[in-house]
Amino acid sequence: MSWLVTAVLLFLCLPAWGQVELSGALGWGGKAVAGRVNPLWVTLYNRGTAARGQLVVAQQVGSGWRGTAQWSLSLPALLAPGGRASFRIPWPVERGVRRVELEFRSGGATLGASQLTVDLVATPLAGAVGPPGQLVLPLEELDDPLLLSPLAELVVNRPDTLPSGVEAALSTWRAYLGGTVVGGETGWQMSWPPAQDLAAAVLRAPAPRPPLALLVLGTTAYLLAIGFALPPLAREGQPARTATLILVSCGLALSIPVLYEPPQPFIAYQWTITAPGATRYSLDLLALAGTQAGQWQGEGRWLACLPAGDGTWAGQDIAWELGPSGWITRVFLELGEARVMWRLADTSQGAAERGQTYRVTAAGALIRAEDGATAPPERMFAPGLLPVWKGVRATLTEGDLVTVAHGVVSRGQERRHWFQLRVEAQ
Amino acid sequence: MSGFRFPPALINSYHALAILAGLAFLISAVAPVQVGGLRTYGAFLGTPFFLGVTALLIGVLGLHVGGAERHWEGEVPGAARHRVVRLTGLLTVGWALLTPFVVASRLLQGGSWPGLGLAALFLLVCGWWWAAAGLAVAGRLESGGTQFLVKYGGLAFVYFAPLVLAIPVSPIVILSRLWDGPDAVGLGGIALYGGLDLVVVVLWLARKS
Repeated sequence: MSWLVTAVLLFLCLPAWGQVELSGALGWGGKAVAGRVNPLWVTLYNRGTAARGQLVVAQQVGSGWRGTAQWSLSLPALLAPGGRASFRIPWPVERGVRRVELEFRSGGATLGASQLTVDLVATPLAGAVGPPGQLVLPLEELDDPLLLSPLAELVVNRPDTLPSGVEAALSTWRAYLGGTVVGGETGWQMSWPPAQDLAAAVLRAPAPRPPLALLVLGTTAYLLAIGFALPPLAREGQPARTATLILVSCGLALSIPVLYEPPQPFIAYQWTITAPGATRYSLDLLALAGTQAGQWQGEGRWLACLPAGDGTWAGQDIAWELGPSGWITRVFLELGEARVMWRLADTSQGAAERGQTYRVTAAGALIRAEDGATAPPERMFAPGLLPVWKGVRATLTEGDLVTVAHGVVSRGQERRHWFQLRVEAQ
Repeated sequence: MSGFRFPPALINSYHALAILAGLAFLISAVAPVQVGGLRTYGAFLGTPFFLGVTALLIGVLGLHVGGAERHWEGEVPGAARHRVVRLTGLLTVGWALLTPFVVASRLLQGGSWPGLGLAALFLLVCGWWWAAAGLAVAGRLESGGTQFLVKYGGLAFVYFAPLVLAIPVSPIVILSRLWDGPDAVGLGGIALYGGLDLVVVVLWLARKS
């Protein structure tokens, strides 16, 4: 019987298979740089009737001895009969990636699939905007700073002709991703903190602790009450007293949420850094830990940072999905395990919080602008900010202004400690 | 419920059940100072520890209830229907004693009420099965030593052998799966033990009538 069902299903699915043709290219000039976010261009061509579905991009990261993780992305697509659709996706590539799978799914059926072989290089590329150059990049593709990530340096032949979007992308790339514009101005560059320091920061967060003294007291009282209530129940067969005792105890147990808020399953530390001259985007770093094992879901497209200490990709799966309200990232967290991620966020989406402003002295100390107080940063800043501050401090010079804000917010399944650090060069 | 008396020998069993469940509850509520400590501590000593102990305790209590009911029947013979009602009643007393700890544990950890309800239901059907097993063993074997070996050896085998063999029929695994949010294993566990209970009840009633 089962063979018949399989045959019928195959018969129903086969006509749809191959309806959508997928093609693509990964990396500038066909070269994908390991450890960077490379541009992935995907084109869909619909040879059949109109199709609404999902473009799914997936790859396996890692190797047999370092463990493997599955990264996948899905975004909605609507294809007219005979129509084409093109997508440009910032796609992170790591060592060990051999191929990228492309698939178009509609209503549970696969209407087309393809595979890209990855031409992986270890060294970042050098490029140019406008001839001559080693790798000439189309200007219209440079509006997203993430796509500049595979480049180490870029020659800009006519800087005065750059559109403002490209200019913002270039300054963001230079400030946060370590790029160099040859012949262009040099400026502040972010020194990234080690991912293991960020993971350690979130793992040092206080664990949710129930009111133990109260629980010991309540348990003892309950057990004593049972000790007195059960013998009469055995002798006299009057369960009312024992039943009342148990019901009252359950009632008291139900009042626990009044005294103690059940912990959110996830604790997050988010650091937002805004660099001088690159204020269109901020660099967001996120360290997550689970007080329970489970799937975390967050707004935005967060990319993975692998802490060097652990060194394994096992369990570092990520799923990105483009929904009606934008990108969503999903990762699975084991109990007490940390994951570190990052993204470039458009600063026009959210307002910066007011905070304390400090001026950097020649000796590297800080003077609080508000009252002139001076102290080592370790005493002025919240401990959670220090892992990122260590990276930022090395790049500061006398007279630079640093504005710091932090707070805690609980929303949904997450308790998030946020830190904002804005640098203004003098 | 008026006139519901039970063998005095069970008082110790109920007390032991409540004390051990209370201790397991308190141990599971102790938490490390930092989130990072949960990785090594919480995976074993948190809620999984409480659930494992609770699942084991309800099985042991079931065996005690079955054995006590057998001796009680020797003194006060009754119909099979009465036996079913009494086993259910005796087990419900132990189950009710556990309930405040189960409810408190759920509230401390956070989670869904359906998971709590199904876990409580499973404790009842699982305990009832072991009560029936305890009664059957006490009725068929004369030697106290052999009874001990068969009852507790059987309990240990059913609870721990599936863990070693990674077969999801151990009450410890079933209870955890129901607690985390009912899935096929958890619901299958309720169906398995509930089905076994039903078979026992039908056989008893058919034999006596």
